[in-house]
Amino acid sequence: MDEYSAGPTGPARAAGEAQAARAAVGPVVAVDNLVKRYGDLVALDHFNLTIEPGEIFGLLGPNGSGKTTAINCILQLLTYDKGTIRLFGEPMAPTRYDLKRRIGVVPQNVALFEELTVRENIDFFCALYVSDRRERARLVDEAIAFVGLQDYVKFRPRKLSGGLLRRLNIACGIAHKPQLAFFDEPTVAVDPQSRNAILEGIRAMNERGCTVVYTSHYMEEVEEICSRIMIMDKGRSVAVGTNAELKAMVGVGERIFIEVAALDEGTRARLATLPHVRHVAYNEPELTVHCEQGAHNVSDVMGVLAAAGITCGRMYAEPPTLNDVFLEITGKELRD
Amino acid sequence: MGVIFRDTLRALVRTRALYIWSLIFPIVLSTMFMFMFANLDGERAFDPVPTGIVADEAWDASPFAAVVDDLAAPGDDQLLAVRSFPSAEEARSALTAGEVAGVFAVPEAGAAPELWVAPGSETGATLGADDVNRTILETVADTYVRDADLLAAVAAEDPAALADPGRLEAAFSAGNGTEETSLTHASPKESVRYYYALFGMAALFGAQIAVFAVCQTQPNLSPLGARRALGAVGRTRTLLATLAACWLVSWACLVAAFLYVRFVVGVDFAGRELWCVAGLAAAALVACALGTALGALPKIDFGSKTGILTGVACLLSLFAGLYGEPCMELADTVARQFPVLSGLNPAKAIADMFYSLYYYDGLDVFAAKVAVLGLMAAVLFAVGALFMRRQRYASL
Repeated sequence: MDEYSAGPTGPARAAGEAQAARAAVGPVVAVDNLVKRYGDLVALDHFNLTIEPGEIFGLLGPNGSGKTTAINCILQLLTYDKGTIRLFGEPMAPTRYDLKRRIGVVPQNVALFEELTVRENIDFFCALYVSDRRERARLVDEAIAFVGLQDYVKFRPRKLSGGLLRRLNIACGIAHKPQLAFFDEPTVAVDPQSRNAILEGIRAMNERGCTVVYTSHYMEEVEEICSRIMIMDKGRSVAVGTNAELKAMVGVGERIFIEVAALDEGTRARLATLPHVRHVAYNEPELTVHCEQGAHNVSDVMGVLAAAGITCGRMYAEPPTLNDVFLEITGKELRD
Repeated sequence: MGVIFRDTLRALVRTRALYIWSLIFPIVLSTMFMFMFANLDGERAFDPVPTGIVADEAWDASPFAAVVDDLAAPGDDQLLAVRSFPSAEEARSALTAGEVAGVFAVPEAGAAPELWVAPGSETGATLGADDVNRTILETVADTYVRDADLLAAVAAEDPAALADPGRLEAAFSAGNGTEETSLTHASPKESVRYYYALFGMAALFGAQIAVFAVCQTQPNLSPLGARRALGAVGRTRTLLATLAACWLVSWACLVAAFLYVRFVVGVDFAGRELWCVAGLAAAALVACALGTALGALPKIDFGSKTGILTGVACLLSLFAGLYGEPCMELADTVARQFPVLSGLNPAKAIADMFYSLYYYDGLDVFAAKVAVLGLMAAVLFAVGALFMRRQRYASL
C-alpha cells in the first residue's frame, strides 16, 4: 500500500509532536469495569482496557471471548450494563459525533453498497465524516491509492476478488484519516500478497500517528505488527503486554528439533526427566522436545544424547510463538 | 446528508430487483387488464335485434315496411336483423323456437303494424337480453304508430304545415322523451376502477423500496447498517436523506406506470393527469412510510419482510376491489357498512383518490383524500420511528 498520512488535515506529524499529544490527552481508549450481559450470559465481565496513543494494540481471544462485543460497546453500537468508556479522554456516547469523526472502523464482514462503484462506496463512507466536497475528493483519491485500487474505481464490489474487496472494505473505513482505527480481522480469506499489503498499510497508518486496535485469529500477524497485545477469554482480559512480556508470563519455552537415526526408550525417558522438559516425541527420524523456559535447554538435551552415544543430524530450536502463549492461556479445548 | 441522499438514490436506481414489484408488476397487470376489458367491451357491443316479418301483400303495402328496411340497413347503427317469413304461421314458429325476438306483421292493408313477442322474463331483478330486444321492438312499433298518428293529425288540422320541413322536424323531434346527458365531467367507465385499484396495489408494493433502504440503515438489521451507524452523521439525518431517496424512486416508478396506463393502455383520467401525478406523490409517501414501519421491525430479515409486505398488499388490494367484480362489490359493501375500516385501507384510499378526480368536478374530495393519505403516512412513519428510536441495541 502507498504512503498514507493520518489526521484529517493531512500532513504527517513529527514524532515529538505526537509524543507531546499523547502526554496531553492520556489514553486514546480507556475502558473501565465494563459489564455486558446477554440474559444470563456474561459477555464482558468487568472488562478493562487501556490503549495509549500510537499503539497497534492486538486484541486476541477464542471465538465468543468478547472481543467483538467489547469493540461494539466502545463504538456505542451496543448497550452495556455497567462501566465507563472514554475515548481521547472524553466520555463516549452514541451522539458524540465529534469523537466518532476521529474513529475509523474496518468491520470483519465486508459491508458495502453492492450497487455503488469502488469510488462511490469510499466517497459515501468518507462523507459520513467529512462534509467538504473538495477535501473529500482528495481523501478518497488518497485512500484509493493507499489500498491500490486505482485500476478498479469504476468496478462494483461483486466484480472484485476477495483480496480487492477486503482492500475496499479497509479504504471505506479509513478514508477520512481517523486518529483511532479498529480493524476486526481484516485479513480473513485473502491471499498472502493482499495480507502483506494490508499489514504494511496498517503499519504505515500507525507510523503516521494513527492508533490501531487490531483483532485477528492469525497469531503470526498479531505478533508481527502489534506493539501490545491483550488476550481475552470469557469476557475478561487474561493477559496484557508486549509480545515478549506475554511469552515471559507463561512457562512455554522453545521447541527443539533433532534428527536422530534411532532413539531407545531409556534415552527418551532420561530426556523426559530433564529439568524444563515438558514433553518428548519421536517420529523417526525427528525427535521433538517441548521445553519450559530455561537457560540451558539445548545443551542439556544434547548432553543426554551424547551420553547415550547417539549421533545427531540436523538440529534447530524454535522459540515459543504467540500461538503457544495463546493456547497455554486459553486452553486447547474447542470453542464455539 | 446530500451525499447520503444522492448515493442512496444511486443504489436504489441500480437495484433492479426492486423494480419487479414497483414498476414491472403494474405495467404487466395493466396490460392484462387492457386485454380483459377489451373483450368485455366487445361482449357489450350492440347486436341487431333478430326480427321476423310476415312479408305478405299487406306488409308490402304498408309504409312501416320502409321504416323496418331503413332500420335494418347494414351499418354501425343497424338496429334490426330482419328475417322474412311468407306466412304468419311460419313466423310464429320461428318466434316460439327463439329464432327471432319478435315478429312484425300488418294484418290488413292500411292497418297499424302488430308486434308479436315471446313471453318475457318474470325474474324481475335483472333485465335479460330478450327483454331488452323486446323493448327495442316495442319502441320501434310504438314510435311508428305515434308518428303516423301525429302526421295524420297534422294533415287534418294544419295541412300547410306538411309543406314546412322545419315545423315537421320540430313536431317529430319533440317525441324524443329522453336525452343523453352526463352527470360528471368524464364519461363513467366501470373498468377505470380496476386501474385505480391497481395503483393502490402498485404503491403498496413500492413500499419494498423503503423496506430495503431502511434495512440498510439499521445496525440491528444489516452489517451495512451497523457500519453506517458508526459514522459522524446523526441517525435522523441519515433516515431523512434515505427516505427522501426512497420516496423519489417510489414516485418515479408510479409515475412511469401511470404514463404507461394513460398513454399505452389508454385509461381515462378525466383530463386531470397532472393532479394524478400529484396524487401519486402522496401515494408514494404512504408507500415510503409503510416500508419504514415494516423495515424497522426488529429480528426479521429482509426476505421475510418482503413476504409480509406482499401479503399485506394483496389483502388490502382485495378490499380495494382489484380482483374482479365480486371483490369490487365486497369493497363497496365494506365501504358502506364499515366506512372507517375502509378508510384505513391505503390501497382503497389511493384508488378513491383517483376516483375523486374522475367523478367530481371540484378538487375538494381529492384534497381530502390526499390529506387522508398524508395522515396515514404520518402514523406509519411514527410507528417506524418507535422501532428505530434506540440509539444502541442490547444485541446485534
